[in-house]
Amino acid sequence: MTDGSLLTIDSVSKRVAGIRVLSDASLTLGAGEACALVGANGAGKSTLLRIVVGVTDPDAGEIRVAGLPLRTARVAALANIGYAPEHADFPDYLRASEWLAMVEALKGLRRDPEQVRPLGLSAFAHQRLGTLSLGQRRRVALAAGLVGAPRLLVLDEPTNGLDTASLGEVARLVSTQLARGGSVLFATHDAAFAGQVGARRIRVDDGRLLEIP
Amino acid sequence: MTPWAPVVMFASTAGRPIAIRGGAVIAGLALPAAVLFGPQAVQPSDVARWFDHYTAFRAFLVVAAAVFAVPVLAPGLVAPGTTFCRSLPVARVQWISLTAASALAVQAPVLILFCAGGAVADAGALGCTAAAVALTLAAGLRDVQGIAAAATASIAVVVGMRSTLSAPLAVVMLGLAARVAWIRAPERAARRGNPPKLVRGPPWYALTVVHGLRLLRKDTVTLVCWVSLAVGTGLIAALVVKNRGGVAATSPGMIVLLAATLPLVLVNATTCQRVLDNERRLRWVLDVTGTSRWERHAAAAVAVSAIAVLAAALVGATAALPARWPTQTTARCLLSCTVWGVSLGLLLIALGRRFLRDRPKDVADHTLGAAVLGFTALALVALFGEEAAYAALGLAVVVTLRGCSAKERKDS
Repeated sequence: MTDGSLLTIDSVSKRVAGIRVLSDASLTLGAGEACALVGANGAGKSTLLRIVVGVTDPDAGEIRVAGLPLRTARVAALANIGYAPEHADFPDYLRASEWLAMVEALKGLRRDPEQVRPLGLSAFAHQRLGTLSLGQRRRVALAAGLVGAPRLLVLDEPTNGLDTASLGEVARLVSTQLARGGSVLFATHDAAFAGQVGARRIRVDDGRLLEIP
Repeated sequence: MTPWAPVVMFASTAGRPIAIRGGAVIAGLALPAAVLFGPQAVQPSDVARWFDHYTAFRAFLVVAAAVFAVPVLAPGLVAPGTTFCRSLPVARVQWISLTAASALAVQAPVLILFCAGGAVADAGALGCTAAAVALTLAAGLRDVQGIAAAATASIAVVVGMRSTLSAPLAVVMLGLAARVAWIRAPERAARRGNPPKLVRGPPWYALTVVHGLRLLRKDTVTLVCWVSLAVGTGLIAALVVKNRGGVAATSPGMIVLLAATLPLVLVNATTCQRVLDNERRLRWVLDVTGTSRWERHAAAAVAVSAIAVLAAALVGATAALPARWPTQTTARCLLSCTVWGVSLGLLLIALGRRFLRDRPKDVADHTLGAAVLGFTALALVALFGEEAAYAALGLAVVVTLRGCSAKERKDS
């Protein structure tokens, strides 16, 4: 890390199907900091998150995670990230426990049982992912994101489909992550949740990132 | 509600997946059945006679008939529309009767076989027993009902189907099994279990296991068809060797390879499509976890090779073992067949990556490529015999290693 930031998004641009989604977007996220991306549907929040976690490549610009450029030090950079997508294409033939075990094996890391205990996975860990409710799938996605206690958590609409109790647990997870010096970048439409976890709010508008005071 | 409404509703909800899967399984069994019951081979009356005389044969048929029916019945019991059926103001006994009838319908090949062999009583007892056991297993019942079904099947096997005890017991058991299956199948997803911790170890291994689980859990019917195809191919090869004067007068290894080439290409091409489709669906998590290209290639290659080994070994074993070929000939046949299966699998997955990765929906190119490879392979075996298999393995290994070590591509 050269400038103390955990995540640096530097002048990232992206076109999808010929339409400009991100234009010269820049953002810096320090350790112990949470940042909420807000904006209209289709504004480019999820695209930006997918670029940060290496699922999609930017057309221009650079992503650095813990000082490591994603383009050239991909594996080392990704080892610092945990990702919970909004619409995960979960294989419906796997059990929740098998999915988490697979993510652990792929990352070569284990999840911290204490950290994910509030998610209440044990109640449905033996069920196939295809049979889970939306909220249960969200919790599995969050638990997979926490594998290896990553320094940067990237969450796409983390509160979608969750009941009130689970919302509180997710807020606590985010607070725990921040308290141990990690960072959280998430996209949300839930202003109350963003306020609850004390996140900086960034509006994604016309492909640019604008800080909301 | 008209009296026929529950029947129509059951047929369009639970019946549809049962009919689709049942049709596929029966079509898959047709080839080995045609070989077994051809004009020169076994007669249905022979099967009925063996069934009465041999306990081991009775046990085999009951277990086989039940096991084949489980993947056919399971999706029907929990089909989405059946929840609506269960909530309708219709007497439960109607749904239970329909469930029992559909389970018996799945046993149609066995019923037809025994009726053709003049053993109608055996047909009824065996059909009901196998249907009861299959329904119990399909509903995921492992406790009292499962034990009861197993006990019924055991009694039927031990005392013989013509016993006065077996037939009524089997009918009662089918009714009870249909009842618990219809009532308790929806709880299956919520039932607790201890899933084996298979998905562990290095990334390539975990990914291989996930590919395997995908094939096992989503393509069960396809697997059953592959088994039937492999058995049928082996039997055809054995008959060809027998009709040409036996092992001493022919080259059995070459005949088995010639018979197995196109079926193995078919099995491998389908496996490759399923594995690559699975890898494409998991791409986001593989990207996020930094899973390297060689790990993805290795996992796919191992998964396809494992299926190829099983299919090829089954072909070789079915050809050689029942005909009691000499040990050396059997071993050589098994080895060359397995090597041939793995070679074709590895070459097809390289082909699949070329055609299916960038354009996953364009299956036609891959099918055409597989057909070209299949006929080329056939020509090579005809020209060079078993040596073609070992030469192909060398080429396949080189192609696989080249694919694994190629420069990491940036996907956008």
